[in-house]
Amino acid sequence: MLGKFKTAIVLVIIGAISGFLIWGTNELTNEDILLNRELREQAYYKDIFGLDEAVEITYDSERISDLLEEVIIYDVDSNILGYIYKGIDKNNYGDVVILVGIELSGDISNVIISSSTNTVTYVKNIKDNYLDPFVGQNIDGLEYDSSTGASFTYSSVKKVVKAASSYYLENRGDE
Amino acid sequence: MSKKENFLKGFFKENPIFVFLLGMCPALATTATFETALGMGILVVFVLTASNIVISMLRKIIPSDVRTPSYIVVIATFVTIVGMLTEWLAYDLYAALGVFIPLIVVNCLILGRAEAFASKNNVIDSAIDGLGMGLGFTFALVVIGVIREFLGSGSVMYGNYLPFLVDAPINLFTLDWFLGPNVSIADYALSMFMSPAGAFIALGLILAVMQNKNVRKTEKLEKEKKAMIAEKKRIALDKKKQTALKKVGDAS
Repeated sequence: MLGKFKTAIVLVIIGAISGFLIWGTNELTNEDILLNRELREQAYYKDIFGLDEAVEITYDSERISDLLEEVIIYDVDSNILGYIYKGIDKNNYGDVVILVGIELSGDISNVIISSSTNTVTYVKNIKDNYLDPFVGQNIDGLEYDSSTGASFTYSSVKKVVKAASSYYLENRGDE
Repeated sequence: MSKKENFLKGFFKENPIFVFLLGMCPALATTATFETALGMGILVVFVLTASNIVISMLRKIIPSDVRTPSYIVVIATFVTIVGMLTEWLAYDLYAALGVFIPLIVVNCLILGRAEAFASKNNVIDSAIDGLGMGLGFTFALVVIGVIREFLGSGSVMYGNYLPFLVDAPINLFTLDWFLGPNVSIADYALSMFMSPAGAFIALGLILAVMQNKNVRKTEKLEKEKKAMIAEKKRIALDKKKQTALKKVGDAS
């Protein structure tokens, strides 16, 4: 009995020290990590619409479904530059964050995988070879690559692009 | 074992990758470039040294029946910390290594050193062992990374993922330096070496070279041993002969 109590105490102490160390590191790094993510997100937004790094933009974001978040991008004069749909899909390898940029004309300006816990090499392959064909396509008659349909990452991309284009057609198509 | 021997054993004699084939997952998955290999190595050095120190400090109070889960908790703590620090200080490396950062928890090298060394030795020796083994692991990753990146792209770059010392990516070495202005080595590189299959081939080639060296060394030692035995036999025979001749001389 005393042995089990000692074991429990030791495990509690180890757990407490671990928790304290993780909490301390989180306190130290959290603000900068969030700032890093924010800056990266902004860089992606600019990249999607082919804007220079120095161009100032503002944006509003709103969750529109379980899968999608809509980000409206404005220039310095508050004119809408376009819409970005941010989808977080969970597949067998974890979360994949996909950004789909749609111009006011309804053309897809870019599709980006902004973060992923899937196998790096496979994601790189999808990024390098299968996202470019979306660029310039109008959402009215989107064509998807059929040969990579079986890969988890591309399936997530397809799901988010489909959801983004149907939302855009239903709610923003007349703008 | 002296402290120097303890530190140096991880580089060649007991190299985790080239000798014990431990930690194969990061060795194959994160060595597409020199920089990702170096980055992963640095993270493993930190986790291995820190977890060895803590486990050695706690070795007398951790009950033996729960020692493995306790070690895993300690290792997972340092991996979580290292993940946060990487996302803070080197976001590009964090994005490039992706899922392989949390997977350091299950790197058998780290648990192996905790079980085989840190749980039986004092803090200083365990720290030296962690540092030496970690640097040996890094050395092996970097060797594989340099070979793969060089064969796969014709260059070895620095600055894409690690934001230290340079403002923009630089070529540490590229064959473009020796080619004309209108030719790029990237057009002739063996891009297969940047893929997972290339990782296996590169590791296989390195292990074959090392094995060849070991076999030659063993053969040389064997030869020397045989020569020594033959020499000893010859000396013994000479002695016998001389004794026999002496006996014959004495008798006559």
